[in-house]
Amino acid sequence: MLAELPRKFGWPHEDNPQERLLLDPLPQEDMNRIMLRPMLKAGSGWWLVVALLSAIVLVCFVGAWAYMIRWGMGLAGIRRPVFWGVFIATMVFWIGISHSGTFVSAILRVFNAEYRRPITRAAELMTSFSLICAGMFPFIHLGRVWTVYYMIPMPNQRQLWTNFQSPLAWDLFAITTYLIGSTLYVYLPMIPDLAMARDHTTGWRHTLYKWLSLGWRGVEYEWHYLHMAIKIFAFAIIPVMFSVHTIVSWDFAMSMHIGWHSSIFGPYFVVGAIFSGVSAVITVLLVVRRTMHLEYFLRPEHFDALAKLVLIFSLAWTYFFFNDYLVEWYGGDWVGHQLLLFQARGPVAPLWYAMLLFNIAIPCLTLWNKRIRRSPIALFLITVGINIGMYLERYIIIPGFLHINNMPFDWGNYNPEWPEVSIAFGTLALFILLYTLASKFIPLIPVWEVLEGQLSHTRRRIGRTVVTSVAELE
Amino acid sequence: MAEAKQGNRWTMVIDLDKCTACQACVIACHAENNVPTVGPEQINMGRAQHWLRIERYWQGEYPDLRARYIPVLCQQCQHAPCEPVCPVFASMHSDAENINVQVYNRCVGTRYCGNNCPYLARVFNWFDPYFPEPLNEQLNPDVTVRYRGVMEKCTFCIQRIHAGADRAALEGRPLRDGDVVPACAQVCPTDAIVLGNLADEHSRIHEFVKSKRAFALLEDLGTEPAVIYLKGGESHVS
Amino acid sequence: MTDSLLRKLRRHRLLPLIAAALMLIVALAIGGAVLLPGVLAAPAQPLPFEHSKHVAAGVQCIFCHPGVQTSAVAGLPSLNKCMGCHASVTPKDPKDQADVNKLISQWESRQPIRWVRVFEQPDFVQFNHRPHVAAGVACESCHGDVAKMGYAQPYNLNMGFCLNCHRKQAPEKVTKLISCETCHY
Repeated sequence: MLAELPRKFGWPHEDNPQERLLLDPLPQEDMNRIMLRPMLKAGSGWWLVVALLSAIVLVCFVGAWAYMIRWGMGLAGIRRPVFWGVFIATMVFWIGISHSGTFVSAILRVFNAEYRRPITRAAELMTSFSLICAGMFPFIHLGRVWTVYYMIPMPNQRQLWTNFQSPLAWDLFAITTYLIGSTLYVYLPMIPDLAMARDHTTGWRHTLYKWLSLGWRGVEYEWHYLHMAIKIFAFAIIPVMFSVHTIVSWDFAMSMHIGWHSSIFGPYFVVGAIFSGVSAVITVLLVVRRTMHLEYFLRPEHFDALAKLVLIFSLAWTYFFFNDYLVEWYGGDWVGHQLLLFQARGPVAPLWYAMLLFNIAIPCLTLWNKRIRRSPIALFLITVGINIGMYLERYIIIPGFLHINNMPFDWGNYNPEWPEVSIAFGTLALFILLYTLASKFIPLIPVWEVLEGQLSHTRRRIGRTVVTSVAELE
Repeated sequence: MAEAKQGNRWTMVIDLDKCTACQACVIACHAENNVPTVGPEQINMGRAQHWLRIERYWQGEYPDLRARYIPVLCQQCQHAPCEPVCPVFASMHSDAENINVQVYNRCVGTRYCGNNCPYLARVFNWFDPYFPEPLNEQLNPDVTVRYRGVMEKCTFCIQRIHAGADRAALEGRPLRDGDVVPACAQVCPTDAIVLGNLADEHSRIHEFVKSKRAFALLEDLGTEPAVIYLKGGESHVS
Repeated sequence: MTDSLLRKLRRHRLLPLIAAALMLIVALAIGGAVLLPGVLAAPAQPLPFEHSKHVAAGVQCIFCHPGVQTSAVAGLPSLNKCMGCHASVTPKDPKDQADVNKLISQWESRQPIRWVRVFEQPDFVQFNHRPHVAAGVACESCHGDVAKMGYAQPYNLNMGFCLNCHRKQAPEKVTKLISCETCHY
């Protein structure tokens, strides 16, 4: 029966009203098996991917970083006046990706959006893994990474303290808080699924899941406390999410630099982060669905709903982008004008137009269409394009804006060098590697949440029509 | 903080009408402060490590074209933009001398201060410093040789400020004009650069600062620089 | 109570972990106790010299290290200065005459003594003896009780050591004394 599943539940089959929001319940045991089968069986392809990714991480990331620590920051292409380059742009990019999980999971959970159920876990894992990648860049970009403990507030014989006025210090606390919070938030809803995995495995996996599931038995009061804890965390993580990217934007907005010194940067960055994050969720879910054969759980309507979110955030991002640009233009400052001209005509102009194409033109023109929203290939291409576009946005804002400053004698040109590109690429490989490893250890679909959704749905007849209704669980 | 005025108030006056852009100050600064030379490749990348540089610009259109220049160094702002952004207090305001100091051994190399300096006065040690023969024989023992990964900038020759204060204390008298002469001022053939202490009522710096020709660089940013430029009328080079 | 706790630990196989942690702590303690005196020991010098005997003979610190009064560095006495006394003065203990003879042969060979530097600060610390001596700081507050030493011994002079004293000075002086650029530039 399992062999038939992909054919039976592959898309498109939206005509069938039974399919909507997983209203074709399977026995719980079958759902468990759909989830566990790809986890327990590691094919040669998986090993090949893991080996390849590990090699890339080792050479491109660890190797290049060690090389740079040995010889100095000068191996990167940064120069006066462009003191920040690819490293900070990549850090902001990864922090942006990390917003996906919390947004898709926490906000949709708080608002009881039913379509969130099968996608929360995969999205939350993205948050933790991309934060691991992002969290390393503040170290990588330091000139003297071996003195990084100076940034941690702790008593020391030098009687020195961290400068709490510095946005970089806030950054450190914000990212750490978010990493811890989001890791707990991904762990809590995972406990019942880990217990499920524990009951279906033997050997070392059984021992592993036994430890991880904290002795979960699934009795009434455990569910009660779990639901309460998840609810508290879902509410608590939302302000943390907003604060993190706002604080990251303050790294720039709090400075005196022309173009950076903008009061709109906080919401602008948050919207951009969610935009790129939700797009990345779609990309990852499409890959997961394809490689792990989870067509039963990840239906076209889920991607449809996520793509609508992407469209909304594309419009919101466009609004902020033009607002930022227009205010600078209207301000009439000569250096500010040069900065705008630099974007449209300078060396970064190709990137700037590519950014507008990927972030505004393509999503706004295509995602209105329901068929495109439900086509995996089109969605894959569009969302990957959006993430390229958002990376370009960070690249233009960080090293790009630094080209132009108040001292026209010292306008400089920045070109990335291979160590920084290699390290940035290495973190991409690290992210995929972490996700690939996690796919064998962590149930990527919260089976119990899907089951809960199915149980809470009823089909009622009102007059002549049959409608789906959702019962509130609490 | 501009309000809390205690200690010395070091102020540098640069007379642009006197300056001939001979670059002697740039060389003297390199020699005095152990500033490494980085070589032509790095210079091409824009990584010249001058603490003090002469910026040249053109005024007018072709037939009536004039070369103008201005020596730019750390302006020792009283409201320095580099200070609040440093996460470890490596860039900080000295309440004793009222200048902006850079603590090399505290610096972790975030380079945020460099981004935030509107005068681009800060330079970074991209690699370990390299002093080709015979420059390695003339390093100044009173100044740290900076290692890779830290920011640095003009200090108003703080080692000479300390040496001057030390000499005055040894002789049991207050600091006065002439006790502290930074390397750039010492070599300036036209005496265009003068360092003085505003806290000293008898210092000749007061009359320069009150001059009608006085202005500060990027004054509208409100950084309150401690470097005052003098410029009036036509310059003698055209 | 203790029994059940022990049983619980055994059941969870935590005893080896706790034992390993304890052994690590003990190893660190022993290692520190063994290594630290070595770090603080006086380095070997090219010529036998005992501070204690000179102090006992009534020689003041600034007689041999006069630089402290006027300059940043204390300075080491030249062979000339050593011989200024040892040309005529004989040690109280006749056994020490052999060591003095080494000094005299050094003097005759016209080679300076290459003393090993004991008190060395990193490049980024700019220390000046003069203001400390002028402020009445006793030599032994930073250099230890030299009267009991043979060769000079290192003293733990880290930044906290300096600041502990600097912070205790008169309030109007503290601003300058704890300002970074006073020592680091």
